[in-house]
Amino acid sequence: MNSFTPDPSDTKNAFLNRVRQATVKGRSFRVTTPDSFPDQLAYVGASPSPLLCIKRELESVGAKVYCLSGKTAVQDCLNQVLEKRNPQSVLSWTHPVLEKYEIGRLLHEQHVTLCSPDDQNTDRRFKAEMGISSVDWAIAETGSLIVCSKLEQPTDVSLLPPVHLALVEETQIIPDIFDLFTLLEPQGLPSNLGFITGPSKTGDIELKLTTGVHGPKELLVFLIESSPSSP
Amino acid sequence: MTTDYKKQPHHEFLSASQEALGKASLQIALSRLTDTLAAGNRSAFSALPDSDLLREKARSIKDHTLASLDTYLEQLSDSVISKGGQVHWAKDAQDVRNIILDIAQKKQVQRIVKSKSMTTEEIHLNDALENANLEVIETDFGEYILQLAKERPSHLVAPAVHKTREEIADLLESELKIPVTPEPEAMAKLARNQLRKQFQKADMGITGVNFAVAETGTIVLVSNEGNARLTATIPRIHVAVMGIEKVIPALKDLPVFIKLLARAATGQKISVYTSLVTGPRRTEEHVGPQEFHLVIMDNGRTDILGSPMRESLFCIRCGACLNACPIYRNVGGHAYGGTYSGPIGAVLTPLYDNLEDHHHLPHASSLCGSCQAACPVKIAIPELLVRLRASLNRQKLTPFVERLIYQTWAHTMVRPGLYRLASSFAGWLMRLGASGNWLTKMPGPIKGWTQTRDFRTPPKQSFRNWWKKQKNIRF
Repeated sequence: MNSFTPDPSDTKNAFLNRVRQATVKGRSFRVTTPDSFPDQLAYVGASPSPLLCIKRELESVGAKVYCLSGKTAVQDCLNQVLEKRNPQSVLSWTHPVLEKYEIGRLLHEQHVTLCSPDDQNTDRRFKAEMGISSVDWAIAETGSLIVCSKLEQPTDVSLLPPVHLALVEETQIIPDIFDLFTLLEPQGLPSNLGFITGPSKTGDIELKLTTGVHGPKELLVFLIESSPSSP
Repeated sequence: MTTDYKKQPHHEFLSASQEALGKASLQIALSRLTDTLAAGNRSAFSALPDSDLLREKARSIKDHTLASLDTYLEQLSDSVISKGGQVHWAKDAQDVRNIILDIAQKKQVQRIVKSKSMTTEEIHLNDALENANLEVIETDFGEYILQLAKERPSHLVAPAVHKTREEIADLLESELKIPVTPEPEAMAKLARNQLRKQFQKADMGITGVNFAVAETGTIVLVSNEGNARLTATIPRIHVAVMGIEKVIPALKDLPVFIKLLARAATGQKISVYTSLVTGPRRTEEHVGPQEFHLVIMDNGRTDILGSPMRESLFCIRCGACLNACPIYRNVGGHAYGGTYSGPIGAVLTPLYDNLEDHHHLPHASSLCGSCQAACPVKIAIPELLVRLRASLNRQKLTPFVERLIYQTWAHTMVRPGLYRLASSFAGWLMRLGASGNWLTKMPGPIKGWTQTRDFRTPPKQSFRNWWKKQKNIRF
């Protein structure tokens, strides 16, 4: 095959020169005058409260929400979910919230194989029936879960299995998308930052809503209320 | 019906439109589309506080970015490289194809998965890849269906909207040799199983780019199915193709567009998956692509950038204008004969391709302005279409008689005396050809005006004359 590789810097400079000329010429066709707009224009926020708002939004996008308070409730609920869905294997994050509720131990007790972030066997990862994660943040405005990729938080956990279970503590909830961008460090972004808002959807057939073509078919969210006794 | 228009220069578009108007299943699909998506757009915007001002802000950001585009593109490139990615500069469609084929060859790529990208549609990338004996699978459910049907997308966001569920079931059965009921759930499940296997085997994933943030070297991928996320995560190489106009300056500008895009496209507050991809996987990560390539494409956009049509580059490819347009609503996407359809397609196709072959498109509009009202960045599409019509005249791509009529009209409109004379004469002519108070048949070249409506003839005394007489009466 004929190798097409002109000197890369020539291509780049020629390209940018052409863009520069057009940019300058195009300035006489501007349609707006530089104006200052309020920073967080169209800030929606979370009403009546972040917890109630996110529950409402999550349900409206088709997620199944469990409102829980206290360690026992969380663990009981997880056991019920596992019994009902009976997964053979599960992909999981390594995360303080998951450790707090001893997810690893519960999975072990239910004889469910846990594929931790260290497990790099793709066949096993593709076969897992459920993914369990926490979140980096959860946005009440839209019911969006924010998951940042890291060694301990592989992206496939919330993507490959047909069921995704996310444990969200009240302290992780922020009101609006704008609040997220206030918290993000521009130079500290992960290789993949995902907004997840409900289970995977398509309307490609006659605009009829169907779930689970690619991403998870079911999104389960444990909304864990902060109580005075638990931090 | 079509024989009447054979000699007209608009033949292809008109005959395709006539055919579309006669296809019942398409008409049902299109009205369903507009009922759902256009209504969604309107209600989502009215529910969002300050949505109108937010659209102004988005418009302003796009305008500002284009006014310093070279600087931002260079910054984007530096940022991507600093995060471990590679940047390629493609002057035109051929360049993009060569760049991707080159990467595929160097990295021993055999199988490629793609998520929906109109940019790659524009450059007919799949054909080039298949000609080089590479296996290419479209993963967006609608695009996958179209790939099997060997058809092109008819809508920006719901590309297979023109197909019925029965047509899709038949297609899946005959191509995959697996029986399936014509229920969306069953078909989605079949597609999931088939496509998941493809992801696992793929060496390279190709996506488009919804937005590219210059400050951080981040590309943004928006989808509802999750296939864009899979495409950018599973294969060992991720290639993202973007037109130069997709760049925005800084991370803080992104939420403005995130808040607008899904609302404009479907009425959702946000799409199911919005991914911010910044470079390949970090060294310590186990999951994610090992290489990230950003292909920055011109393909005619710099010509538009330096022209009065510059505003068309604000487009964020949401499809809202398609859903609002009475023309699109009736003829669907394929009649437009280009990669992009609907109002924005009527502007872009003559610009990206050439005006002569697509001379019918600037006239495929009643200039009602619904598109502009639905557009999240308020592109003045009617004005752009009128400019294209003027170009058609200047380039003598319209019939001589039409140009003569415009010149006469222009000459008359600026001379009040001549205008008064002309309108009296026109009124007299209309009354002459009328039966009673209605003109039902205009002759020859202008008979189209009375094809579906009758004209009320003007009264003998014009309003102007009547008003002159009233002026002296005190009220």
